[in-house]
Amino acid sequence: MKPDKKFILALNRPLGIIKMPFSVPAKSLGWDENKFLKVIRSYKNNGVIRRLGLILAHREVGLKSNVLVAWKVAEKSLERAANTFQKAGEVSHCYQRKTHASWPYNIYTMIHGRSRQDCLRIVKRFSRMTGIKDYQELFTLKELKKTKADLWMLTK
Amino acid sequence: MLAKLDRLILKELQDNFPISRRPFADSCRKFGLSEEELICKVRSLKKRKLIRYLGAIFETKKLGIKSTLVAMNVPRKRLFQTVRMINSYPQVSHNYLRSGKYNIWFTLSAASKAKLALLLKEIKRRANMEDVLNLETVKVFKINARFKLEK
Repeated sequence: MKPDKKFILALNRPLGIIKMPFSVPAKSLGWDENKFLKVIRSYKNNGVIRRLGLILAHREVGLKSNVLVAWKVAEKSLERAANTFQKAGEVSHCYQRKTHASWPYNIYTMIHGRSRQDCLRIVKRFSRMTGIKDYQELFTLKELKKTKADLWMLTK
Repeated sequence: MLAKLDRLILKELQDNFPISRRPFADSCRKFGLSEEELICKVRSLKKRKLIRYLGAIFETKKLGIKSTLVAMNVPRKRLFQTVRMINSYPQVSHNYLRSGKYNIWFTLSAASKAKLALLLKEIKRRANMEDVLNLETVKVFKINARFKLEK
């Protein structure tokens, strides 16, 4: 199914916390609301919509600290490390990324904890579990920008 | 502190928000509330900044959008103006000041790989930076921006 750009842009805006939240974007498209809901369901089923519902602010729900950790993982240890991170509740994101001569780290994990100390403990534990000794802890010093991804570029 | 009912509402409506004409009417009974009461509760949780928004998150990869993570080490003197320049791009959704060798980390998205490369070249030039890490994704092992609320 080819994603419908107008539909995506309409649903990419936050919904109102009102009795009929989907009626507003449906109306903006000039669509019948039932058709709009049907399309949402189908995109949710095929994974084009990853999530739909309340998007929470994690800082406020008790996880006050987070750290991005860049790990240097040997090719042969990749699967084992990825498996550990996939299973761990403290890890929200885990990506493998390209490396550079000046930056040999290939695995990135976003780790959440109650405090900076808590995060450091979790990182140490992961290091022990995976055997990865070379890693960089990249603490957030300041959030400079955090927005809902603007998907206008789809229309270009 | 989060009350038990608030926690239940947050958990349920982050995972199982009904895709229906009246989603609050369809879910309010689980909480022993009326539709109006539930809407009121959710609005107050938003006001308290526990909720960022109600809405959808798209799998941008499935929409053909290309994204990358970029890191650079901007000298302190130029930090403010450089951050302002980077943040002015709508293609930059997240930007963080971080500890470590590189201080500025941002995500960049575009409709194609070629457009992404052009955009990054422009930002590098405007930032007057040589040592820029373009950390393209090789593989996604996990994305789970849901938060466990049971405790």
